[in-house]
Amino acid sequence: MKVIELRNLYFSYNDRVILEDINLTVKKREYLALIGPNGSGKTTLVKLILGLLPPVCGEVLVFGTSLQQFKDWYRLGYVPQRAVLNNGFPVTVREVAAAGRFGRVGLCRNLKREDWEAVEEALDMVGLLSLQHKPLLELSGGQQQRVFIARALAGQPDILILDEPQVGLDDRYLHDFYCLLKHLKEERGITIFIVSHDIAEIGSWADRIICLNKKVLYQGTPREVLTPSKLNDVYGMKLYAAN
Amino acid sequence: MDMLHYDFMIRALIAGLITGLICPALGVFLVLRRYSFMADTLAHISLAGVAFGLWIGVAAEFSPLLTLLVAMIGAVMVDHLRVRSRLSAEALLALVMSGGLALAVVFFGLSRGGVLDITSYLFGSLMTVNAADLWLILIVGAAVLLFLLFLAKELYFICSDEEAARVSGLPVDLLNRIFILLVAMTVAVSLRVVGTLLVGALMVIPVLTSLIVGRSFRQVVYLSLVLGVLSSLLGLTASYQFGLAAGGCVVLVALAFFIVSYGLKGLHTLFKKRSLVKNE
Repeated sequence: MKVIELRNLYFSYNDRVILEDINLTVKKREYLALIGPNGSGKTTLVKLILGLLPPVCGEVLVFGTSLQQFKDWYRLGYVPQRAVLNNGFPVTVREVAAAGRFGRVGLCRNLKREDWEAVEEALDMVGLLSLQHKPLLELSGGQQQRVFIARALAGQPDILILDEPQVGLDDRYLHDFYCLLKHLKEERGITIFIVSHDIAEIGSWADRIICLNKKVLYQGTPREVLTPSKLNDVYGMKLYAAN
Repeated sequence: MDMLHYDFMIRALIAGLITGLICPALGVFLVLRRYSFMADTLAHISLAGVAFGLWIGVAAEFSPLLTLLVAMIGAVMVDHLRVRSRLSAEALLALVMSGGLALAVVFFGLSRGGVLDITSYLFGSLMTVNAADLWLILIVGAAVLLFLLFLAKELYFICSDEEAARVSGLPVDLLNRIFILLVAMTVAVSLRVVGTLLVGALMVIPVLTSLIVGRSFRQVVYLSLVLGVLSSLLGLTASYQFGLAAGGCVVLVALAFFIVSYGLKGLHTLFKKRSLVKNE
């Protein structure tokens, strides 16, 4: 089953073409990584998938439904690149994570016991349950990033879309983070779509890798894609391949 | 307690109680969004509405309705510019605020004879809250409280992380528009009690005080409401007792709460640091 399908997608900004003729499919229970140099359009592509930006032309289908008609947004979990809340507000870890549940609960409805259980479970998954009543601002940058991962998980999504979430994470937690994504995929059947700059690490976890630089240059298994010549094409410089 | 023998004072206190409740209730979300000056901007637009009413000679009982209407039009304009223009929040609010004030000055100038009314609109007054104003305040208060009762969690999500709120499927644009219209309505009806120049302060200062003390969003909301109501009632009582401008007294009480909280927090931090040094 196709979870996401992009057909002939184009996006431009101020007459500058950012993405052209993007065609790609994300299948159910797939662990897909999107890589590419800075400015290659990775974050723009994520925003197009999430409906945060309108494409110039082309179509985005989510769970087989065109984005314009799509209603079940709670099925998508999203972790932004550098999630920060407006500074100075003493929101607790629990309050931030609970927001991820709002889409599933619906308008004008309060969170019930099972919703709070899902929030606590999500916090437990990222190892922050014991800090749930702490103000977010008292946590380190890496811990804050984990709270936003918990927020995405609290909605119990079918697909998790992460835009370079590793940026804020400390090295100690990074391995646990990749293990968590693998666990979510294998044990819970959640599809993973991750934008990553960490080529060496992502190669050993993802099922499939897409190389983007304005257009889809290569896609395939890490072994097929992460070769010196292809990485040289994508990044325009010599990199050591993962395999 | 002799002030309760006067009808005008009872009306002013009821109006003060409601505005003291709804101003910080909406102010929490304005501060969260870093739009603290929104209330001031809408107050200046409302003032233009008051002046326009004086100029065209609208009957006194319809003047609050006209002010409300002008504030709502201004709110829609601000929201449109917020979404469509590339102006920063502060630049946008400065632009609209000065436009509103300029219009108010011109309309007041055109409406000779109405000049005497300006002070009560600028600084608030106990005497000017009439029965029609009170009804309007009650209706707006009920609308704001109902909206927040059912949609506070959605509003919290939108104001803290609009992008994530959109992705979760919330009707962000619709809720934003309703919210800003309610802010405009609240500002327009609060003018009678606290005045144009100080309505923004009643929306923001109780929230800033709560931010010093509160340790969760829930705590900040509840504390802001308590402080808003206390500031309003104590300020109006002081205004009656000493014959001072209502708006000034209300805001000075709110400021006193802020200064005390700020001082206590500073002392608390100092003692905490000292005890840490001692333990080491």
